[in-house]
Amino acid sequence: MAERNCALQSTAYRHLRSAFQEKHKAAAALLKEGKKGVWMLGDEVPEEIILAAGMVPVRLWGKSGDRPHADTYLEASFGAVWRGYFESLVSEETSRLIDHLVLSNSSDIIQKLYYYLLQLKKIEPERHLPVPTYVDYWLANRDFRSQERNWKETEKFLNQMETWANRRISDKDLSEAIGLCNEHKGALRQLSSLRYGKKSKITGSEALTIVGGSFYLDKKEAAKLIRSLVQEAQEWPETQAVRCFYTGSLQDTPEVYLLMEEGGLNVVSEDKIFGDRYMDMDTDPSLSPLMAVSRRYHYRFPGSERSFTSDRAESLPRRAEETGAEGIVVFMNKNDESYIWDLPRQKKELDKLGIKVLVIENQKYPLDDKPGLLERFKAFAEEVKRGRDHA
Amino acid sequence: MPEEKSYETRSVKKLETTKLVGQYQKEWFMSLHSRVASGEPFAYVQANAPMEILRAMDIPYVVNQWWTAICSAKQMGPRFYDLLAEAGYRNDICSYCSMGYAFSLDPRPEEGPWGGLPHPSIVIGSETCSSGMKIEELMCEAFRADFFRIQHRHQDVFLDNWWEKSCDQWETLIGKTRLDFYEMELRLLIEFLEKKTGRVLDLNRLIETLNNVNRQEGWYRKTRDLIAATIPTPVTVTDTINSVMQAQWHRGSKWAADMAKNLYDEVRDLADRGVAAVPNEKIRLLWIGRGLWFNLAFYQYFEEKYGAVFVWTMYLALAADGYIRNNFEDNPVRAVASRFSFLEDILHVPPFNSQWFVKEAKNNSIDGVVFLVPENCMNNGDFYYNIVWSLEDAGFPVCVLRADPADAKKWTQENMVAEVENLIEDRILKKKERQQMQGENE
Repeated sequence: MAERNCALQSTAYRHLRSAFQEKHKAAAALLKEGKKGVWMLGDEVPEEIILAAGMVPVRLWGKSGDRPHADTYLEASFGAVWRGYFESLVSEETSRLIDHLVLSNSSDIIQKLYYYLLQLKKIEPERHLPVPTYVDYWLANRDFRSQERNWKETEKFLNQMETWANRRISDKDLSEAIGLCNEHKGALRQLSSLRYGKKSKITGSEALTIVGGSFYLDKKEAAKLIRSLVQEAQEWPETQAVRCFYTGSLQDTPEVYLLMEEGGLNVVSEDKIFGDRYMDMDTDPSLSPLMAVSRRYHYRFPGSERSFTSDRAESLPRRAEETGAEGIVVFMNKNDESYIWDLPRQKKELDKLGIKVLVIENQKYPLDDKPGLLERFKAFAEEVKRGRDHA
Repeated sequence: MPEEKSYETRSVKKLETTKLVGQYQKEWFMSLHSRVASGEPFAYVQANAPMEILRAMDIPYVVNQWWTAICSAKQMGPRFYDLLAEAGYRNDICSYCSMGYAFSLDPRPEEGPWGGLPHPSIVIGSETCSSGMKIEELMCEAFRADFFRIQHRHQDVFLDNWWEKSCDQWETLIGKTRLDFYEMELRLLIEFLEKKTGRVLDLNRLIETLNNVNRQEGWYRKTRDLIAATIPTPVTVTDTINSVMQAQWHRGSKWAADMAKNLYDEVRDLADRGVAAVPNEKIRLLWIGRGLWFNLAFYQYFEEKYGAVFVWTMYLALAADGYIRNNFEDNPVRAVASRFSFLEDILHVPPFNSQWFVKEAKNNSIDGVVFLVPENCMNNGDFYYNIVWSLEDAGFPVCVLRADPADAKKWTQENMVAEVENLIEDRILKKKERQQMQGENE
């Protein structure tokens, strides 16, 4: 399925889509008038604190096309997504925009990138590379020691942002930033509610475009556009495709979602940052601001890369059921395949719910067998439909 | 059944110590069954785990990498990896970390090496990798063991030449914040172990254990330095890997310290008598990466044809530089924490790894480096570019082998031999010829 006319006719959608497709331009606009940008790599960078410091959080995007630096510097263990991010950090086109970078402990690969950057700055001092810092949350457990650690880590990050911004961050600053981020996330949740269930009015690729585009706009403006789009989308036609929950390698472009749509599948939810995992919970305004931020990143939906199989076997099928998914697509780039250790256990739970699973492994960038993938998506859609008829 | 290979996989070992530790290891594994059967606790841990604490509490343990090496050396990897596939997992990735879990799925565990592995009652998880932590959890559940997960903190102090500080200035090397954190983690582990086993960690016993560790690693330091200084080498890695690692897994015991001294005495004697491990030694090679357990003969493959001898692996050198902690009596738990927190960094975090490899290459008069990069390990990321760049920049030619160090099925002997032969012929021998010509011209 190509992009739908109903979406393309929407001014709000076109605006968000433009920011998503022209991230470079959108980011430059965000950073106009000398605003300091703090770039983020990883799902668990507390953007509320960056905003509270008067700086602009910018989500790093992966460079598409050739990735010569990644091919030179990185081991094969770095999957396609990570190679794209590294290429962005090192290639001249984007690196000149990036002065400050925050990486979070969302994956061990990100931690390696942090170490690599520090060393690369030493051995190639002539290269423009950002000053990196690292947010070291512990996400695998939710016990007391993890809570305490993450709270202290949040405070440490706040102190770092005060240093970068050269100003103090008050509770009021942080509360206002939390409010702004919650407004953005709240708008996105309204959008997501139009994806779930049998009457899904937003396709996965549209949602990914909207969420991704909103990252490169002023949050207030983004929230306004999304709310307007939600109003319009009430009238959009329902999608008839097989409803899927997506997990696996991060998709930061709609390419795979579009291919799934062409094959008769529609992603109604995912556990990824360019989708539902970004806005799955608010930062609780009733708590002290620092504690609220810490909790928001600690208690959100468990991402596979920092979770035990037991957590994922419990949370993912439940979430799939809540969103009305009929199938799960686990799509893994080569060497970005830790998800496979979740699978057999998850599958037992999914079988109980009658939710089928499609596992795609060993994918490369760029996709080297699109026709083959399309056939597999089509076959999976047919399989799920047959199950529907049978039921 | 173990798989047969068309090429020789068993190395020829010459040292008495190697035979002694091999024999002890077999007996130890046999005795483990009766200890566990009589109700003793038994722990399964990772290579970087704080084994000194287990040793001092007299809790027997097996290290995941140790068990992988044994299964792999016995050519039993393919059997266990096939069990993973049968259970719905992939059998072509994470081979180094999944052997224990794969073994737990075996319906006939008694057919494993030396009667197999008894079911552990405790699993201590310390993997940082996304896959590794899941595998630890799955294995723990399969064995119905109690699980303690040690949290990690990233490295934020990057001092040059870490080996100059690790023995006496470990507080400075690791940094207070990180050390405070790991000390607390280990104290939580001690509480957990005391509660689960009913055994108490005796402070005096812990101090005694750490003294044994220092004694053991001190002998390894002398051995490493002796090999580095002796040309031709009195001993190659096929002997040192086995004699060091099997004793390292028993680190902190008097036996292990005695074996380290035995090794030194034996190597010293060979050196004093001028005995060369490879009489026609012409080229000294350094191996970076995990040991090639299923094919230790590979290390001897180039001796006859080229006089090329592997004199260095990380196993002896890491023992020599990575473990000794002096001035620990005020807080032995903190000393263990300093070792635990830093061991992985030595191998995987730049610049600790690259600086160390260059230092060791220089000290061991190395002519070339063979670097095994595992392609099926999602945790593999040592910034190999930086390692290769640092070594080459220091004048050491490097060849990179991309292979699986645990699963014999994926090894292509001819390709790997060709890679090393290219290194020897195209780079090392040509460099030596150039140097010789320069010498003659001068």
